[in-house]
Amino acid sequence: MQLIIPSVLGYEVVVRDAVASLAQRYGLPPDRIEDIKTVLCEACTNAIEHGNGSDPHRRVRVCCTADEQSLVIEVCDEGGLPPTLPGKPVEWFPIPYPSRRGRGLKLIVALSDEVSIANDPRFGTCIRLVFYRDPRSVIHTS
Amino acid sequence: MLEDELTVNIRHRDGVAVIDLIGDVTTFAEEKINNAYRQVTDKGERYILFNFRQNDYINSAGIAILIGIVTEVNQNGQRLAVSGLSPHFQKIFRMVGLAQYAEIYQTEDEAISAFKRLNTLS
Repeated sequence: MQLIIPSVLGYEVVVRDAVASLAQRYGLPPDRIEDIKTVLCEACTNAIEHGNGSDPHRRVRVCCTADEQSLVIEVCDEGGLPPTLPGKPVEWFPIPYPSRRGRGLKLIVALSDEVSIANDPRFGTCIRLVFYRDPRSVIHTS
Repeated sequence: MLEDELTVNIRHRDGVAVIDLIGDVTTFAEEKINNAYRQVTDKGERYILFNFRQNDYINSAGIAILIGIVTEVNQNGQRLAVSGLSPHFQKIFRMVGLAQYAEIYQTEDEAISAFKRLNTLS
């Protein structure tokens, strides 16, 4: 499934609802679907605001593929500077904290099974999010 | 155009200022939430409850707004609780540390009862 949206806040909710429907049909449990919804909204918001600078003429492409093991979601913007991902497990800022930004990427990393970022020469920066059907079956090799 | 615009409603119940947050809690909600908090603080309210709707969309920008509020609540010597959050957002609130500064209750009634006990003790 592929979705292309303009860089306008609010469209991330349209993508969220479409992918949540796919995840439900894929058979993921409701709590994992909620994680996917939050992660996807954060990834799309980052792509809209930071990747594409909220320019409505620039596009965000969301591509979902599912197989027996996992649901993989790629969110690509037209920007050139990929963000740096926080490590896992995520360390949260203490409250109060002077900066009010930076929690979006932390939520993405904390709630996804795997996250990676790459520069796609045809499009721009792509964040790849993996959600396993059964996270317990994942064998971490790194 | 596409967001479920936040409706903020302020009520008073048993000595608690209840702020209903109905809709999306995103960057667009900042002014409304801060205005509501300022309004109840200016009236000298000590006990504040943010009452959410189960199906709300709360993103990291919304969480940042709420973190700003808990910081002020601490500085102003108030007590803050939240109710009506879905289990997913209860998990998120605990994850980001908001739960250390705002008690989480399933329902408005539970939160009001807890505030009443607190008020009796203090």
